[in-house]
Amino acid sequence: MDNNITSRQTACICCLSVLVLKLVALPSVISRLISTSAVIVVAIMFCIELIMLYIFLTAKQKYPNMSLFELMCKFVGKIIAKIVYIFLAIIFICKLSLLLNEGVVYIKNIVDEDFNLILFLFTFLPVITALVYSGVRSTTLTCEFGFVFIIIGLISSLFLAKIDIDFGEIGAVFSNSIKSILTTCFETSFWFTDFLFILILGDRIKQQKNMKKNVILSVVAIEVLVAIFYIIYFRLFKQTGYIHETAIADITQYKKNIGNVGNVDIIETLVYLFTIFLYGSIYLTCLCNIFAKVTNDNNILHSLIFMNLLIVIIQYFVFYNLEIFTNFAIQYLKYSTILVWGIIPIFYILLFIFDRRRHVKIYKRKISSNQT
Amino acid sequence: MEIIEKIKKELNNNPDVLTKEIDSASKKISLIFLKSTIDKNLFLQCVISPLLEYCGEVNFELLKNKVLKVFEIEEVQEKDFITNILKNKVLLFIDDNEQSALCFDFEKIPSRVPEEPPTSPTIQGPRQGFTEDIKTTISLIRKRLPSKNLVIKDFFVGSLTQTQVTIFYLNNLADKRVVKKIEEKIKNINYDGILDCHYIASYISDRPNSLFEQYGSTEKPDIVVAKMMEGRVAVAVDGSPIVATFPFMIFEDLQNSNDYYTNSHYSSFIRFIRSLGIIMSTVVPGVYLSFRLYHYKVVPLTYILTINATTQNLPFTPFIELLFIMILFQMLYEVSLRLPKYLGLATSIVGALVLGDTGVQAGLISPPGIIVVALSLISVYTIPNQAPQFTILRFVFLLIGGTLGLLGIIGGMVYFVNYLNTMNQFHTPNLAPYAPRIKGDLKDGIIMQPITRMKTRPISLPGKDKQRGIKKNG
Repeated sequence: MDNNITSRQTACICCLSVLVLKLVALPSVISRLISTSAVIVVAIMFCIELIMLYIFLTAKQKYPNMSLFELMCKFVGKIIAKIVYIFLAIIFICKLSLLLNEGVVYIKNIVDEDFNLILFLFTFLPVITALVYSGVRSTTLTCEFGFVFIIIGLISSLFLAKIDIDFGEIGAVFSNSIKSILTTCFETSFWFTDFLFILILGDRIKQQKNMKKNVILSVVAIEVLVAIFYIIYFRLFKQTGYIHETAIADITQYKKNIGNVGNVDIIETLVYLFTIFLYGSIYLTCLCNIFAKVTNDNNILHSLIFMNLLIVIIQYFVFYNLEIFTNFAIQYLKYSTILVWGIIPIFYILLFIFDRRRHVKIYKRKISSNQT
Repeated sequence: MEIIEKIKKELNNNPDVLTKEIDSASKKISLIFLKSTIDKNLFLQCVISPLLEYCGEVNFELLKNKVLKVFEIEEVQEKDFITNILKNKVLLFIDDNEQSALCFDFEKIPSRVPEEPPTSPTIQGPRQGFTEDIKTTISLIRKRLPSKNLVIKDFFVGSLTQTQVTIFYLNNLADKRVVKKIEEKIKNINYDGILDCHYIASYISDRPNSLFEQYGSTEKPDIVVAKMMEGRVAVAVDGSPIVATFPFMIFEDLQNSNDYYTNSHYSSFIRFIRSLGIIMSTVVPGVYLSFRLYHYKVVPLTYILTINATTQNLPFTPFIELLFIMILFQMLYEVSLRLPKYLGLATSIVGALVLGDTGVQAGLISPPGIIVVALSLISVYTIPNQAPQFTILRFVFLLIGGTLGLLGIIGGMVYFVNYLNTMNQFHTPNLAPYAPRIKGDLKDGIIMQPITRMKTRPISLPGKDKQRGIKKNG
């Protein structure tokens, strides 16, 4: 069995990355920062995300069998490559931490009041560690298997919610100034810097026909779905959106909760929990890959032990609740965008422009070495 | 003859080792065989009578060609005497030659006739099943697959039992690497006795310690032939009515021979029900327990009140209660399997009525608990081949649900799906055609297409010719 990721699996992981951090706390964060024009912020960020995805996939196509690390080593030196990778590791750890915090908040608010972070770590980390230990191929196959259920579950969950949305005063979405919209975009950019796994696991992604087109089309479809979800959210809760920290559950249970205890939409709960497990394993895979590249230690056990300890320490002592994390993300993690949406794409674009001849040589060399 | 005495001594002078001496005109002929395993009438008719009537010169060539009315005769040397007798063959000696003998087969082992197997009864379609006799297995497969491409290879495995293991495949369809690997693994088996197909299948499997089975197993020749026509290799063992097939994918167990002999829409619906059966049989008790212990917010208020009313004053915690019911049901199941049929029925009545009903009335167990466990136990038999594995998983998920709640159950499900994905034996993805999604193979997935549309063989399986039927030119 080859250890490569197929284009369909790439598309599944990209779609999961669009879903995983956007359905719980982000709507309330955007709503808090900019209440009426929130939909415009989401639309802008999705467009930028798609552009970034296009650049990452083009780089993948132009330099198959090479990850960002190998490209940077080749063109700007190993030290800079390692520094960039360390920054990427910080972003991944923060994303994993956000995932954990959102998971805890979700379970606490929706299914179990007595739930806590330790119990979450105790359940979550062994499973994603086992997934990563089993290898990239089985992890991506599991994502591919779960993806269909997640999408069907999400759509049916939204459909079954039977929400009556008031589309009156639709013009209010343009009431905020452009400056405040752009500021909110920047402040919430951390939530939208997805698809980073392509940079890390790019060398494992199989070069297949129409890959770029298929991946982008799938992501567009999922972004439309998420956009519909955001429109429902913002039209449903309007100015009070910021108090709804568990957006997906609050939407699907909007009608049922009135005058009734229970009746949690179990489909949506299952969908969300499946998503965090699957995507958590992708984050950890990327982190282990970064660890291996930075330390030159290819022993998966070493990287897993180190990353697990790091996650527990950070989670327990630094980002121990969602509010702390959200404030930190708005204040500081927005600068991570400079790396992900600035430096790396610029590096790629410069490569595309100045390395037209060289990359063909590299490609040919890689192909011939593979054949031998 | 000295050699006869020597053989008898080596066989511990067992009473069923019989010798027969015939004085012909020129030489003395001796026969040695196991009387318990030969067809006596045929033996008398084809060997003893011709020998008694023969008056000419005696040598192996003449006996072989002119006297003995035996289909297949071979000449064996001294080192093979014991082995051949133990394989239920008859040895014939001539008094001036003790180093070689004529060897022929008159085996008659008690065996049953092919009938409908109890593990896979069919409503429509063929009912014949394999028996313990490997010759019957070979003939049933031959009958259904009269192809020049059918390859049958025999191996004798087990230092004590020397059991015949036969592999079947179509050489134009089966992948050579798979065949070679299976042959190598069978040749390398170093074990004293092979008593069932499971022994061989365990040796062939890459991960014999795995929770999930890595081979397809069936008692029906039509299923074996259908799988061989997809490019699989079948392995039969003398003494076992089960035939194992390789490579295996977990979705094979969702497929049933009935599906192909009935309307494809109905088959799709039933396959969907079977898929639900997998989930219900494994996680339902765990989910119920987690809802009762931790996630009561998930359950509607009216239903919480109902559960509360029925579980009040129970002496056990919910976990112990469910564990108790599950163990009780499992015991009843084991008892009903082991006991004779008429006693099994009585036990079922005692179990269901006395233990279940009286248990509820006595306030030991609750009705929802019984319903949940019974539901889970019944649903496991939508996929009977995987019943042992799902039974273990049910207990595992009960434990997880009782300790880690719903999050633990989801984590467990993700873990086990991933575990299945790591089991890629013989270059075949275990969860195909869904992970990886193979479009061409979806026609025989949960949503099944009619037979007329299944024009290609599974792409997920290694093998050469993927087109069913004769290829048209161009």
